[in-house]
Amino acid sequence: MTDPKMTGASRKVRTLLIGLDGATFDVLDPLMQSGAMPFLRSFFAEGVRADLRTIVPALTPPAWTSLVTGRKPGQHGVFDFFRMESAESRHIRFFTSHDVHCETIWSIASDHDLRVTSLNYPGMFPAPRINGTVVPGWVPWKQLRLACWPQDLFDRLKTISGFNPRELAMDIKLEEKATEGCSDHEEYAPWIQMHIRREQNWFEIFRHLSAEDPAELTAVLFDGVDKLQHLCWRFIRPEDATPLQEEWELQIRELCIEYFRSLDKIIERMCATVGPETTVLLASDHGFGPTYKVFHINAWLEQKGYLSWSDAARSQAPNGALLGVGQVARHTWMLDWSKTKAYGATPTSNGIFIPVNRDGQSPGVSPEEYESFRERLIADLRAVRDPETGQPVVTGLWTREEAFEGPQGSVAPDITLAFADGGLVGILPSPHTISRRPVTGGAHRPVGIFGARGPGIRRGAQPHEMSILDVAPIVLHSLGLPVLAEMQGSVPAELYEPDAMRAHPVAKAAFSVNGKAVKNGTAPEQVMSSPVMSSEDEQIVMERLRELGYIE
Amino acid sequence: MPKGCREGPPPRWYKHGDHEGGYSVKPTREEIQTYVLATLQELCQDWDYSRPVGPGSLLFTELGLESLDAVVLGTTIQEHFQQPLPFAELLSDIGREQRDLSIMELVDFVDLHLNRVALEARPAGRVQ
Repeated sequence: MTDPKMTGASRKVRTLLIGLDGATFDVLDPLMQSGAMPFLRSFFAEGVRADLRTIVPALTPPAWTSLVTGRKPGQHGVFDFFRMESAESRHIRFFTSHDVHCETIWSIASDHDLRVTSLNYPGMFPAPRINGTVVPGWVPWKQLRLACWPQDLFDRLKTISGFNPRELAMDIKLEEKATEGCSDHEEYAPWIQMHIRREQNWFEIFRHLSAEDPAELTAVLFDGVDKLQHLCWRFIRPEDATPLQEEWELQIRELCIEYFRSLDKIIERMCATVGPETTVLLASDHGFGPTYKVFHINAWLEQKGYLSWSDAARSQAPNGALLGVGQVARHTWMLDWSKTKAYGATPTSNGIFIPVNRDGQSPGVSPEEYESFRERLIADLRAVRDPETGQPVVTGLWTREEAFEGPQGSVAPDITLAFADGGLVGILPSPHTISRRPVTGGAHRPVGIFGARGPGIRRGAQPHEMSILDVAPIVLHSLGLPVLAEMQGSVPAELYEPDAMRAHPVAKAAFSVNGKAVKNGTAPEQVMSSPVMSSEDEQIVMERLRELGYIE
Repeated sequence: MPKGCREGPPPRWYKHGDHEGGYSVKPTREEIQTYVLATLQELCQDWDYSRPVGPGSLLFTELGLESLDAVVLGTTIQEHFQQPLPFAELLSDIGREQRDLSIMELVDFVDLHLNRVALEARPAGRVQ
């Protein structure tokens, strides 16, 4: 390995980490075999290919955070898109970079005076002040200026031809569409085309920064793979669903393949940009598969007497949402807290929270009865059968201690579930506890992909299944940096040619951190005065706030 | 506590906010208003929003913020002043009351929690 410290004109990309959110060989293999992704086929043939098992839950924020920290969620502190304000709180908020409680590949490389470029990775807002550039993922486009690091980066990006922040950053309505479905088949084509342009947009930023400000560690995340697979699984893998018959369905399938064809070209151009001396790593945060049904967790909890809806929830007309992806935070007013002892707060984590009455005055389960209560709830969950098949609905179940052992686990769900088809729970009131999706969708699976190519990487190797926790150690090793002894993954020796491993054995080092604890906010002491609003204005406000469920 | 992890944010490599090291003196209400207004005025240029932005401008109906925009704006303000603020509860309150939020009110809220609320008195989100 060369000296990790390099400055000025001598700097070049040493490690390129390409994230493909939700990528699975179940989708990529047929595309590579059919000729739609010829570069990816050669990439794996010339390097390493392996299955990559993710953490529990198989969900974007905790999984990518595990990938860049080499730690499980109980240590790094990210469990979902949202997070309880505290262990005793019922208020949830969107997760931020402050919730990442471990060193990351970004911070470690930066601390070793290496430059870092991180594009579109979650958990990067507010952007850490690293030695390099950050465009965080999961930030709405209107705020992208505030999210970029350094502070002049946004204005620099605006000079790139075709730069379009509207299509670059996150739109929660589009996220909702991916998991709730399209209401009209005419929505599919422009939605897929937007994702094709979006990935191109990220590539142009990568190319610009690689030329203007090359960074030894450069990483780009393409998340359209996840989005398309959620919404378009039946078009991408029609063998898992009703056969495609209509002309428009076949056109949508062709457009999906065009997305992957375009992505293949982007990856090829990225590899050409960095050159053969750069180690290129490909990884996904989880896999994917078909999903057919929804388990309405809160409806089931109500049926079993664990949960009670508030009058407001009962009086509200159904809004057609299947899961309630845009409805999180509603539990704060939808539940009758005096009669609720277990609830699902978000549809994304498949988690159940058990409020605990620690002060003797709050609603919930007493600390003394917590264990037995949770055991009873677990037994009830394991007993749920699909009325159509007679098979268990819950196929994976973890207590907080099992899934989230570590110093951050106290704000994680008390119980985390997995289902046979990898589906998500619905959190809204429902007349049914299990319902069939109108059309087959895509859902996360625990096994994603890993690939590597570059100096010292063994050609054609297919190691046994790796862990997502191995990726951070591999990134550090490829940069010539020691692997933190506390990381929960390792560098598999079979990735490298024996001579390369002998010449550059994996170095390990402890890493001390002097972080300080910060209390997390205070409750408001008074209600703000209300401006006078027209009914039309109220309607707009309601619409805007409904997206995150902050309204009745 | 495993090595390399910490009990609470921020990690040592974080240097958030324009005022690294934090505010040694609490900001005045005028400083808060100046910062919030300047931030929103700068953002509005990216949105091609051409009307004047002032203390009375409403975040949702006039400036067109989406819910997640408000969340991100709140996080940015916390970053700048390096102080956690109960924005989740603010959004919950205004949602429940089905009303908008003016820049003036947002400034009042920040001022209230930066300068007037005893932070230790009521930890955020306690079940009542």
